[in-house]
Amino acid sequence: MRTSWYRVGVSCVAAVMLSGMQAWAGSVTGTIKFDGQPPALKPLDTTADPVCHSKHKDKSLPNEVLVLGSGQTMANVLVRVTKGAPAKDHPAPTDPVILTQEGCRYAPHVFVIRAGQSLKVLNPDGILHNVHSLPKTNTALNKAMPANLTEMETKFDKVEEPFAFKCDIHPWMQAWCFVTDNPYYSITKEDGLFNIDGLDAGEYEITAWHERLGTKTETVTVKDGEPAKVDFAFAKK
Amino acid sequence: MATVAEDITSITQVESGMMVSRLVARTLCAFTLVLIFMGALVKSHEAGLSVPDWPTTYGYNMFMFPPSEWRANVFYEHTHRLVASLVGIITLFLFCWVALHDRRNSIRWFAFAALAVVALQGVLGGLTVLYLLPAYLSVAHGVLAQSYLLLIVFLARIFSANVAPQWGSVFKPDTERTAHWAIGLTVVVWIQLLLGAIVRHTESGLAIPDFPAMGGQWLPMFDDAMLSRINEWRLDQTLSSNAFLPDVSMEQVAIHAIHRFWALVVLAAYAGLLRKIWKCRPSNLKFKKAALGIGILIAIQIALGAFTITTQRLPLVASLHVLTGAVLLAASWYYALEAIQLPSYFGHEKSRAVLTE
Ligand SMILES: [Cu+2]
Repeated sequence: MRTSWYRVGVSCVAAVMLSGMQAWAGSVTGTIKFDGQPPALKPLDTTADPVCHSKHKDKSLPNEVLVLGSGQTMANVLVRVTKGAPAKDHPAPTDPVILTQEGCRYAPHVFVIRAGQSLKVLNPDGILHNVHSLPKTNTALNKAMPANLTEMETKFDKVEEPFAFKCDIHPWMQAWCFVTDNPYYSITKEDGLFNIDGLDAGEYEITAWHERLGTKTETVTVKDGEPAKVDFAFAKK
Repeated sequence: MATVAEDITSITQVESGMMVSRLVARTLCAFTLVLIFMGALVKSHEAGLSVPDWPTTYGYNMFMFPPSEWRANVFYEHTHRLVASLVGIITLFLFCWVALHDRRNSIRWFAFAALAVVALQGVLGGLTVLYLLPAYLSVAHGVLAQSYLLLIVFLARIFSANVAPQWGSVFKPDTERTAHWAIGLTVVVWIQLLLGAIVRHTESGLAIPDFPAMGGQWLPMFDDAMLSRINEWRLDQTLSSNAFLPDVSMEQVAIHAIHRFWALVVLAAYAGLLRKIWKCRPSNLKFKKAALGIGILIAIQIALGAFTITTQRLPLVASLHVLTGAVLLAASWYYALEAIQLPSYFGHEKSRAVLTE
C-alpha cells in the first residue's frame, strides 16, 4: 500500500514538471497568403501517356505550382527556423518519409526529410516511372521504377536547401524535397497555417519558401509561454 | 602486263565499288540528319533521362525493350538510341567496305575516323545518361554529332564520280577564293551550332523571351532592370502556362544574346560568299543557285529561331531549328568541297594508276 502511494506521488510531481516544461517551450505560428489576382492555372496535359490520362478521365490533374485555399491562403509553403534553432542533437526518426506516385502525380508535393532518414518511394500506379532527384550537395538519384516495383528506399545524408524531384517519363510530375537536421519546420496546407513547436524563449529567423515565388524572411521573438505570431505574404513581385 | 581489257574491267570494278561507297555515305548523311533531329526532340521534351540506364534499357537489351513501354518521354529517348545504333552499324559497314574496296589509304583513314567518332558519340550519349546530363557533356554530345556530319559529308563528296572542282573553266584563283568564303561560312555556322547547344543545355532558350527586341528593348542594356523584366515575364508564364520557368541569371541572358549576335556574323559570312560568287567571271549558274539555296536555309533558320522563342520552345519547332542548323552546316560544307581543289590523292586517278601499274 505504502509503495503505491509513493508511486502516485512521484507520478504527480513528474506530471506537474512536464506540463510546466511545455508551458516554457514556445512556438511560432502564422498564416501564408497570396497577394493580388490569383492566376488561372491550366490543368496538366497528361495525354502523352495514355495510362496516366486514363487515370484522370473524369477529373483533370491540377497544376500544383500554386495551390490556394479560400481567402488566398497558400499551401505547399515550407516554413522553417533559419537562425537561432536550438543547437541540440535531433536523431532522425526511424519511420520513413513516404513519397507516392499515384495517378502520375507525386504526393506530397512538398516534403521534408531528415538527413539520414529513410525515404520510401511507392508506385501504386503500377506503371513505369523514373525517380530523379536534383540535389546540389547530396548524391542525385535517377532510378527506374518499373511497373512491378512497388517500393524503393533511399536517403539523403546532408542538409540541403529544397530541390526538385521529377519523373523524366512524365515531365509534368514534380515534387520538392528539403533535407534538414532538426524538427523546426512546418509545411502549409490549403488553410495556409503553419506552426513550429519546441522553441525556447529567444529570437529566431523564420523563412518561408515557395517553389516558384522564392523566399521571405522575418525575425521573431519567442517569449515564455506564448506563441509568437508572424504572417507572410507572397505576390507576383 | 595487264591487257587493255583487264584494265577496263578493273576500272569498272573501282567505279562500282565507289558507287556503293557513295550510296552508303549519302544514306549515312540522311540518317545522321534524322538522328540529330531525334536527339533534338529528346532535349526538347526533356526526355534525356527517361531511360535511366545505359547501355541497357530498363535492364533489357535495348533491341528487346517491348514497344508497349515506348510511352511518353521514353519514346523519344528509346527511338533516339535505336536510330543511333543504326547509324553506328551503317558506319561500320562503310568502313569495312572502304577498307576492302578502296585502295586510297587516306580515304581508309577517313572512314576509320568516322567509325571512331560514331563510337565515341555513342559512348558520350551513354555518359550523358550515367552522369545525369551535366551541361558540358550534353553540349559535347550535340557538337560531336554536327562534327560527325561534316566528316560524312566529306566522304560523300570524295566518293562522287568527279572530285575535280565542279566549276567548269573558271579561273582557279576565283574558285579558290569562293571556296575559302564557303569554308569560312562553315566554320562560323559550326560555332553557331556550338553556341546553340550551350543555349539549350544551360536552359537559356527563353532567357530572352522576346524577338527581335530583347527584354523589351531594341538596344538591350543588360542591366538589373532588364533582368527583372525578363524574370517577371517568366513568372507570369509559369503561372499561366504549364511551363515551369525558374528565374534566369544574367549569364543565361548573355549566352542567349551571344547566340543571337552570332546569327549576324553568319549573315555577314554569307554576304561575303554571295559577293564573291557574283563577282566571278565567267559566272557559274550552278554555284549561284546553290548559294541562293544556302541563303534560303539561313532565312528559314532565323525564322525558326524566332518561332522557337515566340512558341515558348514548342518541342517540334525547337527541334526543327536544330535540324535546319545541321542542314545549313552540311550545305555550306558541301558547297566548299565542290568549289575547292581537293588534293590529287583524293582523285580516282591514283586508284586507277595503282590498278594499271
Ligand atoms: Cu512518371
